[in-house]
Amino acid sequence: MSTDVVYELRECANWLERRVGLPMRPPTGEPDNDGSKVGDNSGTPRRGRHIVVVACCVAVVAVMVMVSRRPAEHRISPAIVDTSVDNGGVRVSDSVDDDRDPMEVAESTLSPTLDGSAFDRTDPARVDELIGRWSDSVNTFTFALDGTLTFTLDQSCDGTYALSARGDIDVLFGDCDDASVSLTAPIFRGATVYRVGDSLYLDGDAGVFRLDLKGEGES
Amino acid sequence: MGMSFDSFVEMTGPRLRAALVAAYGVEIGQDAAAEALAYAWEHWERIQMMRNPVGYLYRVGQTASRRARRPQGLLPAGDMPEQRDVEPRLLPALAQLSDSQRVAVLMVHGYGWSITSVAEVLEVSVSTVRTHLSRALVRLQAALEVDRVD
Repeated sequence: MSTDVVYELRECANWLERRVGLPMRPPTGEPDNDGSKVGDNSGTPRRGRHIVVVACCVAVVAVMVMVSRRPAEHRISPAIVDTSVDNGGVRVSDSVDDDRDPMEVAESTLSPTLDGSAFDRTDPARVDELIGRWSDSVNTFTFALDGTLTFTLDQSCDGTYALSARGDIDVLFGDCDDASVSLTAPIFRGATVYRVGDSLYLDGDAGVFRLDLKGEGES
Repeated sequence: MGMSFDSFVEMTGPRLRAALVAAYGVEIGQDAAAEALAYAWEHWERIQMMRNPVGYLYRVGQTASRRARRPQGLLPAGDMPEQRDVEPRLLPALAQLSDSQRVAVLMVHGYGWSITSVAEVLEVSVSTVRTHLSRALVRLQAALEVDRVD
C-alpha cells in the first residue's frame, strides 16, 4: 500500500476533525490499531501492549456499566416550552410524567427509527426553561454560542424535529407544532451533558438567551 | 448516576462521529451523531444493556441522516478545503467509494481506529472491514495516480 494515500487520508482526517471541532479519534489519543495487518502498518503500536490496554478498558467499562446504572429520576426530562410569550422568550409551561417500566418501554421501541413514535417519554417529569427573545426572522429562532454554535428552530415545523448545532454538538430533541416545543432529550455540548441545575447562556443575534434546566417541581 | 452516561458519550461519541461524518459528510454526519446520542439518552436503560450499543447507534444515525434532504458529500457544497489542507483529488475519490468503504478507510487510516472498532460500528466482521479497506485503498490509489508500493 502506498504511504502517500495514508498520508493524504490522515491529512484529510485532521482537516475534517478541525472542521467538525469535536474529537473523532480513539480516546487515548494514540492509534487504536489492533495490529491487524492491513497494508501499511507504520504507526501501529505493539500488539501485546495494545491488547492489554483494550482489555483493561473493556473491564473498566463493564464494571462502570454494572455499578452505575442511573436511576431514572436523575434524568432530564421532557418539558413543554411555551413559545407564545411575546418578546420574552420561551418558558416552560408543562411537563410530562411517565413511570413505566423501562423494559416495557423497550419492548415498544425496538425500532431505531427517529420518527415521532420512537420518542416514548420515559423520563420522569422535569421542567426546563428557556428564556430569551425571538429574532426578527419570520418563523425562525436562531442563536449562537461562542460564535460557533448556531441552531435554528423552525416554528412552523410539525412533528418530530431536532435542533442541532454546528461546531459543538448540541441538540434539543422533541416535538413541536406552531405553538409549542416539547423537549424530550437533554442538551449535549461536546461530551458534556447539561443536567438539572445547569444553565446555558446563549449569545444570539437578538440578545442573550439563558437556558435553565430545572428539576421537577421547581418554579 | 449520570456519570455512566457521560462516560458512554465520552467513549462512544468520537467513534460514532467519525463514522457518521465519514459516511454522510460533515454537516449531516455531525447532526446524525448528535441525534444518535440524544436517542441513547432517551433510551439509556435499553442502550446500556446492549451488546453493541455503538453499532446500534450508528444505525440510529443512519436513519437520522436519511431525513436530511440535503445533497450528500463529505463537505457542504462550496465549502472545499484549501489545497494545502487536503489533496484536491482525495475528496472526489472518497465520494466515489461506498459508505462502508469510506467509513473504513477514513476511520482506520485517517483517525487511527482499529479494524475491530470499525467492525463494531458497522456491525460486520473484521474480514469484511479488511475487504472494504483493501478495495477502498485500491480505488484511492488509482484516483490519486499513486503507484502501489507493497
